Amino acid sequence: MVNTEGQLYTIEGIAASVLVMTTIYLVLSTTTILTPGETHVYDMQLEQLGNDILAVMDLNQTWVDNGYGYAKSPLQCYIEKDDGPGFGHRFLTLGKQTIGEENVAEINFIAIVTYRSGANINTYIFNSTRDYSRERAVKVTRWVNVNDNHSNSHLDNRNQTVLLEVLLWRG
Amino acid sequence: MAWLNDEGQWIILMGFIISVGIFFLALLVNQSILVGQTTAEAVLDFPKSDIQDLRNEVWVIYSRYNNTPSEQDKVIRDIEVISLIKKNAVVNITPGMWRVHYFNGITNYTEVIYDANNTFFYFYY
Amino acid sequence: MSGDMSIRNLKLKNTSAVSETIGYVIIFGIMMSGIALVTLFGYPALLNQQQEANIRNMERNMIVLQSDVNALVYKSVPYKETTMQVSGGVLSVESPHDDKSLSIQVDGADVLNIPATANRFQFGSLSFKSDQGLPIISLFNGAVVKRDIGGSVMLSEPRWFFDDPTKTLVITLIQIDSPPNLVKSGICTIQMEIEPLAIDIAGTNTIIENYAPGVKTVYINYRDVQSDYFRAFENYFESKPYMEKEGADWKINNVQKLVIKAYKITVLGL
Repeated sequence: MVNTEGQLYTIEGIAASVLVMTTIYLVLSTTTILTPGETHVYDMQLEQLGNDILAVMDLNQTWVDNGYGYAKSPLQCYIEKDDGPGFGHRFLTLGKQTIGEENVAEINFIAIVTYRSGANINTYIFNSTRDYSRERAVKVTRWVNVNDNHSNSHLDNRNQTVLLEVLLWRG
Repeated sequence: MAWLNDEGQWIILMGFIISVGIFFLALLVNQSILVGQTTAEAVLDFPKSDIQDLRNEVWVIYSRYNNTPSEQDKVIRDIEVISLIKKNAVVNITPGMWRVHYFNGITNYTEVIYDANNTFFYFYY
Repeated sequence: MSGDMSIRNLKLKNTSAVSETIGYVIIFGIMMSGIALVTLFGYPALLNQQQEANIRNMERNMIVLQSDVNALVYKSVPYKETTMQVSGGVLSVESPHDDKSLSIQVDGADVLNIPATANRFQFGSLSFKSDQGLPIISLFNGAVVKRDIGGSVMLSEPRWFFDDPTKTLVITLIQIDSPPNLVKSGICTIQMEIEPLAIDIAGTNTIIENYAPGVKTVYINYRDVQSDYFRAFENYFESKPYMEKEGADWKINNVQKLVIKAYKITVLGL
């Protein structure tokens, strides 16, 4: 025979659990909502990475001092020689070093140089890994001072400061 | 308490305490969504690297063209104009006392980077 | 223990004139009225709370979106998308219309050159409308505004500014539009794309007027026919020390350099 004692306790237990579950469901559904609270953490990290890479590339290095009275940074050299591929290679190398393992997180970018010519502000594409197509991207920038004795056909022949902008995304 | 069964009072007390506890936790969860701007957004909004980069660049201009005012003016104009168009920030650099002024609507930053008339010694960074 | 039990047993013996039925009816009555009270007041209060939480959540969502718009406009990132849950109302794009528009004048002449709309800049907005009709929370000209019964408030300000040392007034105009009329609720992915909007004769999106060494007064006329966000913008202008009200216009004195930029943000999908 099945023991029928304690049936009331069982019913009470079930009723109580249903009550508690309903209450918890109501409370949770009222207060917690799916919000994109921390979506921008990703952007923040990528922006910091990009700025760090550009800052490292903008450090003056003594081995490129060639009689100007001051040392040039790699960044200045790349722009003065209009060496986009060289810049891109160095940028990606630094990016991968920061991430750690190679080919794990691929970084793509489009680098643009903005310069002033008289009253006009012009831009040209310095280097890019591939076309931009609606990726989750951030923008980092760096001022670069360029000497008048440069071989970049885009820029005027004068001492000037140009703005290097890098649109950066992963994937 | 006449014929009431007073066993199991602990269970009732525990139930009471737990329900009050759940109530307060629910209040806490409810309050937690009140946050307006998240940390990441605040960090993105603050032009930290813009200002650092600008200071760095002004120092480069000072050290390279300090003795040629005509070169200074051209290069400073480059920065001021490009900054307004590409970065939506007003930049004003006063050579001589090397005062840097930056304002993008949220962050207002002014600093004398190197004052030639002041004997106070400035360090680079 | 046994002594204790015996005392209780003794007491229990004395139960004359105690009716179990009446006791049961009383307990049952208390229980039923408890359930009735919860159903009558507790549950509606809970639903109310839920609606409020939805609205608060949406206020916050709009600030997240504003961050995206800032990245588009001020950092010139071409495209941004964010996924969020919209509940307790619908998200929609209001196309630009003359009802909510703005004109800027210097020396009695329009600074903006938009022939199609009589030199008035039309805003358009990304709005959340609550199920009850109000409140409405909008991303409007880079600001987050909330319209409720009796008026409107600004939750987050647009980035217009006047730089005192250089006397430069910088105004950024942001138009929001979408190809079809978009309305959605539930999980939304807001995809936004930016392009410059022509506002001067040359067809570019930037006006830089340099009055140096003199100064001029700039007049801004903001029109909001339905008065949806009128109060919010009035209060915003009023809170700025460089703004002054003159008739229906707001004026800014001592402007040496006027910079206006215009962008169009296209919401490709919700």
